[in-house]
Amino acid sequence: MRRRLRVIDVEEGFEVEENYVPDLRKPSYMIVGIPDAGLVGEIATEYMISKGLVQEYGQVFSRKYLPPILHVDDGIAKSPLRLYHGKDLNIIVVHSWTALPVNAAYPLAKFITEYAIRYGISSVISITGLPIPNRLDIDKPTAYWIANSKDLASSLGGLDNVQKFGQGYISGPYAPILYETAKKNIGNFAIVVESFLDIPDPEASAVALEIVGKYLGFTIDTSALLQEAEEIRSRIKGLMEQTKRELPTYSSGKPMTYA
Amino acid sequence: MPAYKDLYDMVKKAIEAEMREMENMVELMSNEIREAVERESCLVPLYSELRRENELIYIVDVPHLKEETIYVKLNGQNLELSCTNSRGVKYRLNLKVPKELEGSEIKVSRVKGRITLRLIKANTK
Repeated sequence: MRRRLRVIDVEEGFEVEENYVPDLRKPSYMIVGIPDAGLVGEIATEYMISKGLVQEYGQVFSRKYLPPILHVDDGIAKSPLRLYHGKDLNIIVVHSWTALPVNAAYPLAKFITEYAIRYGISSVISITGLPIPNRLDIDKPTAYWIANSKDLASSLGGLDNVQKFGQGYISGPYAPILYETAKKNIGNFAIVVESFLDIPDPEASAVALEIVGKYLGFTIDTSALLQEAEEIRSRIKGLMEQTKRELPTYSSGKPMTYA
Repeated sequence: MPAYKDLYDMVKKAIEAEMREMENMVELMSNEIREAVERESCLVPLYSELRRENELIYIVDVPHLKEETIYVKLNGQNLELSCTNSRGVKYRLNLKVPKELEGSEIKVSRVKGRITLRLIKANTK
């Protein structure tokens, strides 16, 4: 039985269609994967989808903010912005199969926040890349966290495989999510992994997934992600090209995240 | 203009010369069309550009690359890279490098499945 519900008012311009209402226990988490630097977040959440860790239960429409593109999945045209539920992992994943225009950043951040409130999400976890010039020389990229509150920062300080992102900037789709969630007292942290800017970086995504797994208390086997890295890079070339065109509009030519 | 004893010979030679010219032209055009079709059928790979004080680095992403097919040529400011992957897909990348890197040495390497083209300024070698 398919049911349609509006999550936020029409002025905000988003509409959600859900196949079922995900049942979440406390504490529950939302992971956001939107194309940006190195497609680090997008590859990470797509990997969770492809390995069956989360199942699709809904899609998000917006005539106002999403490009007129539908993602065709197994012959079915769907919104490129979709919702996935990991019953065992107790998580919701928001995944975008297309690059999002800059004018969607703030409204989408508000939408994600409202949606997180609706499902009583404890923390929103964003995954993104930190473009560095010597990425090719690094075997295992370093990961950092950026939190939206002091309390969350304190809890993240105990993690041994990820460092605090001391000083710098974050721009792009994940920046307004940090702000909007903070306004509504919802925890949000971005896992920022050293990456390429305009080349897909599955190795950085693997690092991010290991951190997500450790934080949430489960193991994500990323060996297949590393083995399939070339296949993934080949498949998402078009998405990277599309994202590359959107990247400068987010930060006037500067990298998405930089220290 | 050579002299001919027979009008037929003169006309025949003139026609043959015209035909040779036409054939050359057809061959030239065929080559250009073939090259253009080949260019169109090639994929442009994703690449990242990194500028340092004395060098310019291009990191080119060609998944499933057949390393032995890498061809790199710097002609003036035009840098051309072509290669093929193990699935037979051809890639071609044409870039314009800064004037000061004209004629510079190119170091080609393959790191983590990506091609690295390192152009070093001539006077800093």
